[in-house]
Amino acid sequence: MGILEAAGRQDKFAFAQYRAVAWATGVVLASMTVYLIAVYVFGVEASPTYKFGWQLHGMLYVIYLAFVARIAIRERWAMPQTVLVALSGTVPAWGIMMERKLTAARQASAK
Amino acid sequence: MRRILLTYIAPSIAMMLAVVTCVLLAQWQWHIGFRNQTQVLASASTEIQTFADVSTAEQWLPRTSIGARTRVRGHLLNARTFRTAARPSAGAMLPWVVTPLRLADGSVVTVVRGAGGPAVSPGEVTITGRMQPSEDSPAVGVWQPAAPELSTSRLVNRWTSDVIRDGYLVDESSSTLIRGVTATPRFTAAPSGHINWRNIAYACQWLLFALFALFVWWRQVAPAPEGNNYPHGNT
Repeated sequence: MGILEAAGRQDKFAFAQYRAVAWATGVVLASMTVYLIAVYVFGVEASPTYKFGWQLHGMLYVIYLAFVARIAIRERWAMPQTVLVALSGTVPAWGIMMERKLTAARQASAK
Repeated sequence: MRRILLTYIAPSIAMMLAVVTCVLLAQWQWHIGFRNQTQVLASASTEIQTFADVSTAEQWLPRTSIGARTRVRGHLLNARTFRTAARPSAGAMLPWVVTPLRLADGSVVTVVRGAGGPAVSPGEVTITGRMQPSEDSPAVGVWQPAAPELSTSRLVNRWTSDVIRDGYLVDESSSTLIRGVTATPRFTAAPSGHINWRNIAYACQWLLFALFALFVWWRQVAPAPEGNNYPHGNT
């Protein structure tokens, strides 16, 4: 296996990990945002899951940042792109939209 | 010159601001996490303390104030009265009646006025009672309801126009109590001290964010290594 091929496989694996955690973070954040609106706008009673959900997002976001940092190193992202992708994990739906955009760009460059 | 500004100076200023902010937030969370360890336990005294010694506006309720008996004069905002879900009250399960009390300085104290009965009372009152911690307070390690309705953070969002004091007062004064069952004070003294690991975890998280800011800055200002062996490189 050549060096380039090995590096390419590692890149693919790193990107797949980023995608997985971006989706996990995005889905938890979107769900918790809906829950938050239900609690504070519609007066739904918050269960213990509410607090746990936000803590889960906090933990997932730290993992997300680690994966973003790894891809930023591997793919030599510029500072604005790194910051935008990192911040996208804190805004509902933006993280998933960013993942779709990066995946599309990757697929286009691979062709 | 413009290139130096955009490539080095601006990112360095942004990095410093981000790191200082993250470290200060980490320090704050760390302090909250260990706060309970360093304070002296309150006694279950029946002596009435001055309200100013028990609670300060826009400050956390000190551990030493948990269970403290105090007296306060203010205006009951009856229109904002609400009932909690049913809670243990002198052997029965009844909703607690909660009304905000506006003090002379404009701040608001949450008052649990009793359980069950109607919430009719005069506006201007003097209330004697025991201070209790917010139900999502780091001080509460003994018992927490599934839905902490008497949580300062939730009440701040409920009564957005007012400065809400931390904790709540359980009314013991005969003149303002709702007839019938009275609310049972949850603490007559502060529960035993413990480390709040959730806040310690938040402190660690803020330090990780500071490290990430340093990483992004380093990626920006460090000279790029020669060559690019990566097939998906952006350079």
